[in-house]
Amino acid sequence: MNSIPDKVHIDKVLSGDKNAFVYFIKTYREMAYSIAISMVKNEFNANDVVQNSFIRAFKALRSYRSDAKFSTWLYKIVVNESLKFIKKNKRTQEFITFMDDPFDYSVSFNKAIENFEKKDQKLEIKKTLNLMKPKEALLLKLFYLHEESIPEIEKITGFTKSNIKVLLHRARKSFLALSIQHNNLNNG
Amino acid sequence: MDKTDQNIHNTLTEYNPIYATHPELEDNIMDIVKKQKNYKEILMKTRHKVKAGLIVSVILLLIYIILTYTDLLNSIDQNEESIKLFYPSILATIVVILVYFQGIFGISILKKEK
Repeated sequence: MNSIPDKVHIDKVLSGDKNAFVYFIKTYREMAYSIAISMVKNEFNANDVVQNSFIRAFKALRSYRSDAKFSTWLYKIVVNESLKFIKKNKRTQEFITFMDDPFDYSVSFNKAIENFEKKDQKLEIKKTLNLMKPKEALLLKLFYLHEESIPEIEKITGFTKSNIKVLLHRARKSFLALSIQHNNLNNG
Repeated sequence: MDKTDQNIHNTLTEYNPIYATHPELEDNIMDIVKKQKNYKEILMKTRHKVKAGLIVSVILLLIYIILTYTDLLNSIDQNEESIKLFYPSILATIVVILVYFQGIFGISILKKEK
C-alpha cells in the first residue's frame, strides 16, 4: 500500500532516527496545508494545524498500521486537528449552503466559467471556498482537486459513504451558486 | 464526470496555489520532534530494570527460603535469637520495597506508552 520511500522512512523513524521524519514534512506538507486551509480558512491557523498534525503523527507513528496508505493516515490526522481547531475557536463567520435550493446552477456556472478573467479567478475562487462550510470545502478539494475516491475520502474524513455523497452534492451546489454570484457581482 | 464536474475540476486546478507554508514550519516541527523522548529506548531500559529487580527479588527470596528451611541462622549464630526473629521481616520488607518500585516503573511506562 505504501510507497517504498514512505516505508523506509517510517522504519527509520521507529528505530530512533528522528531526522528521517523531515522526509514526511517535505513530501506531505503542501497537501496537509491544502486540507487545513480549506477547513480553517486562515493561513496562520492552517500553519498551526499542519504543525500540530505532524507532531501528532510523529507521536502516534508507532500505532500506524501499514494496511492503509501513510498519506491517508496523515490526512485523517489533519482533518481531525482542523475539526478540533474549529470546535475550539467557534467562529462568528457565517457559511453559505444551497442545500434546499432546487435551482440548477450548472448551466449558468458553465457559462460563467468562460467569462472569468484569469487574474480575478483565483481571488474569486478563494473567496468562494472561504464562504463554504469547512466540511463541504474539504470534500470539494479532496474529490475534485486531489481526485480521491469515495472510499479513500471515507478513510480520511471518517464520514460515512452516504454522508460524503450528500455533502458533496451540497458542496457542488454551493460552489456553483457562489461562483455565479461572484461573477455576476464583478460583471454588474 | 460530466461537463460541470470537469469545469469544477479545471477551476480548482487552475486556482490551486502553490501553497507557501510558513518558511520555518519544517524547522519548528523538527525542533519539537527532536525534543520528543524516544519511548522505545526508555521502555527497553525500564524493562531491563524490572527484569533485574525481579531477578534480585527471586534471589533474595531463595536465600530466605534456604536460610529458613536449612535453619542456617541457628547454626551460624546460635545465641542471637533476635537475628532469627527479625531476619524474615527484614527480607520481606526488602521484597515489598522492590516490588513497589517495579510497580511504579511499570505503571509510569504504561502511561507513557498510551
